[in-house]
Amino acid sequence: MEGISPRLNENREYICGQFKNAVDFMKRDLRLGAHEAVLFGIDGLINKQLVTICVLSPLLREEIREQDSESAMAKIQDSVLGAVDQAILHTMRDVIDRMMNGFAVLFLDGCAYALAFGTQGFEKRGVSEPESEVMQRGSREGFVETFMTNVSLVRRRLRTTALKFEKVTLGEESRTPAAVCYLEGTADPEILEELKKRLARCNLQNLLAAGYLTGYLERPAVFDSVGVTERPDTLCGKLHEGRIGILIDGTPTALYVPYLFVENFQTIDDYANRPFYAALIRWLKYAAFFLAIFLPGLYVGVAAHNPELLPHTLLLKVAYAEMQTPFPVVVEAILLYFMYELMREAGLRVPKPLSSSVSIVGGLVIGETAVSAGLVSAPSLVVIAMTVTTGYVVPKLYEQMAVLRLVFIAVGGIWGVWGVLMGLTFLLFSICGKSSFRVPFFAPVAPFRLFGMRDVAVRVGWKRLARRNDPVQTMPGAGKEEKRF
Amino acid sequence: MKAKTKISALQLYMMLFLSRAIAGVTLNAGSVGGENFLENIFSSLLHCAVLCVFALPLFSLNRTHPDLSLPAVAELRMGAAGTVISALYAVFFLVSNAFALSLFITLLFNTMDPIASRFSVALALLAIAVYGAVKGIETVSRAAICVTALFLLGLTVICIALLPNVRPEYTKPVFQNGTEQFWRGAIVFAARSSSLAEFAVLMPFAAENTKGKFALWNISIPVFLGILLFFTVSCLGEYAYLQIFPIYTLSSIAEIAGVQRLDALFIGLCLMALVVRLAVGFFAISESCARFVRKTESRALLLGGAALLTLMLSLWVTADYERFREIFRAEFLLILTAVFGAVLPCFLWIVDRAGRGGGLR
Repeated sequence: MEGISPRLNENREYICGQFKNAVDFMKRDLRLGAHEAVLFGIDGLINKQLVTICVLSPLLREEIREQDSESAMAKIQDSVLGAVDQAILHTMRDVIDRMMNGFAVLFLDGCAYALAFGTQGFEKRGVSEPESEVMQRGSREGFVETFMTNVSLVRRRLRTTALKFEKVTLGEESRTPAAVCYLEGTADPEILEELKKRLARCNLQNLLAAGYLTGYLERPAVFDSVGVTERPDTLCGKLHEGRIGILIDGTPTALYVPYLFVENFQTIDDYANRPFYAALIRWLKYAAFFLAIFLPGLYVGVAAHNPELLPHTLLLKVAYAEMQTPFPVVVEAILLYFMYELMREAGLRVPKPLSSSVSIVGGLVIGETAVSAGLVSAPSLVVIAMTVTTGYVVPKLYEQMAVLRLVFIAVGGIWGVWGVLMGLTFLLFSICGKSSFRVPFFAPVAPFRLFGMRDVAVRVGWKRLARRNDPVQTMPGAGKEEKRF
Repeated sequence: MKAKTKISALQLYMMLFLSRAIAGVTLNAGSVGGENFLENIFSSLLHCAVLCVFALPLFSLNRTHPDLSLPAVAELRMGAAGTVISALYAVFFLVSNAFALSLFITLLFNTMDPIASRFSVALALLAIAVYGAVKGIETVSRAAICVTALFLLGLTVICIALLPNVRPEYTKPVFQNGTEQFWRGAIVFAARSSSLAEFAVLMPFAAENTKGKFALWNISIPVFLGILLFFTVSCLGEYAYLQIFPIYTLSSIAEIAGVQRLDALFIGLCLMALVVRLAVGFFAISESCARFVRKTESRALLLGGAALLTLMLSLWVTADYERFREIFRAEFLLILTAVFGAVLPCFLWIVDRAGRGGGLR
């Protein structure tokens, strides 16, 4: 059944059939003057008190004298329930969509359309500080699961009419509302068009988390080219730079595109801190990224193949430590790393009261007993410990670093230092060949733009940073078609 | 055939810079003579001037056919004969890649790592270069920016570390014993540089006017080599002329805060630069055969085959040092670079002018 029938019974039967065996489905038959009517809603999604006070009570109190159904509906719409948020619906698809969004829907016998009343009232989490993007000086507000709350969080920070939210529905079954948000005049219309095209190609049945959608927006690769944030202030900053955000109902994270490699190292704190300190922290992050990926591979490569590269004293210490252990250094490094990842995963999944026990056992087993038992050497342990610690300095790249680290340990074990360097070149090709929504992923480093370095190599002061806003689509090399998306 | 992807002139010249720099760092007394390395700075300047002259027909052709590479112009003007020229260019780039790889393998196995597997190192290098070339010129050119930055930064660190070792008294007046070293150096520089041929193929990919930056690139190499040769002579003295790879030896005596093995850094940087050079060469091969291979898959297949040939040639050549010297002697390479960098471009320029009915004026 596509359209709404003028016969109430048909509509009632259709809706009841659709919600058969749904315990939360609510139906209330009414008699409004000479007309039969029915009100539908979903328990838990509507506010019952609001429905009683604002919809049922005025409907039942008001005497409807109009004989003609259309006129009776018009009176309800204009006078009786004029104060309530309303929408006229002509198709059953719209009716079900509205009901799923917490609207109460009124059908009147003889009338070929329905009225939906905004009576939403579901349980929701309050705005709180995001846990995965903790900032020292930034706002304490994070996105929540409720779509409209997220929209308001963005709107409150960008009070301009240029800020647009275009609604889209994603998921064949879940019918999840989402909004594409951007600053008109700043965002590139071609990127916006491309984004809409890719969203239209999304064939998901259920969209339950923002991460489901990223696969539809980027080509599979090691590094993400879709940004994710839990913070409205971060998203607003990105919108200001010409990026386009996607807010999805039911998920406390927003996505944004295009996303560049250098953004992994930028946090909102950088812009709140003093420029010289922000620049120092940024270089610390770059160093941490390189250490987290290459240090264990280089250590294994040097220890196993090119020990002559180590200074004499260090070489003696490493050699002495390795002589005491039964495994080759590459196996040792892989074992230690696996053990650490196991502990980390267990610490994440285990119930909270047990997590401290896991940490203690893990720390003792790895840190103390394994070394004293002579299973692993202390230098290897120090290298792996340092590597995993540096991995947390750039949390956005943790997944990539975890995998690449393992790859480089293996490469270092097979080819030595040269293998690690060849791996670095391969990684460089991989990063340089990638683009995000027609913007080179490694810009403004490669292709290079000196002006872009003001927020990459250093973080210049706000006076200079605010003087010119270069939207992301003006990056060098941007605007070319992406291959084989 | 038609260049759709555009890169900046800076990106183009950074690729070509690495391509020439990697050839420059392997100079030794055996190739350029053992009189005075400083005279080779002038050889490099002469090579620069020669490049400027022979780049003129390329610029002229590029102005007439901004979207066509030299092999494409050959095919346009000469039909089947042009196709043969394109194929010859592909073979030239293959030989050039094999030479660069052989030179690096010789450097690596004579200095840092004599026991490493020649096959596996060469295979890994070629695989990465092919990966870059298949991804396209944008990928290679962007990576070249990063590698150039690392290369220059690394060599700056080495030079700073060498400052305490500089002994100006080791330097000798130039041209004291004639000009043989100068001419020999010029021949070696010209023989080992495939830049003009690479330029002929890659020029249409540059989005902007390349002339200004061509001059900058062209002069940057003598400056780069001049600095390296000055440090080599003034730090090593007569010892430099006894070394197989004096610039490598130079890096091995550098020391920063107790870390003595900066030669590892040097070899690492050369390795990265070599991958870029090989990738440029492979891309040039694919462009020379662009008429036959349009799809990415077939291009990958072609480059895989080219890499395999390069690997076999390099391993065969480097297995015997005498064979290496014979096959890649400067005179032989000079003929190749002269034909593909100068003679054929000039010839095609004349054919193009004649074909357009413009005469030679």
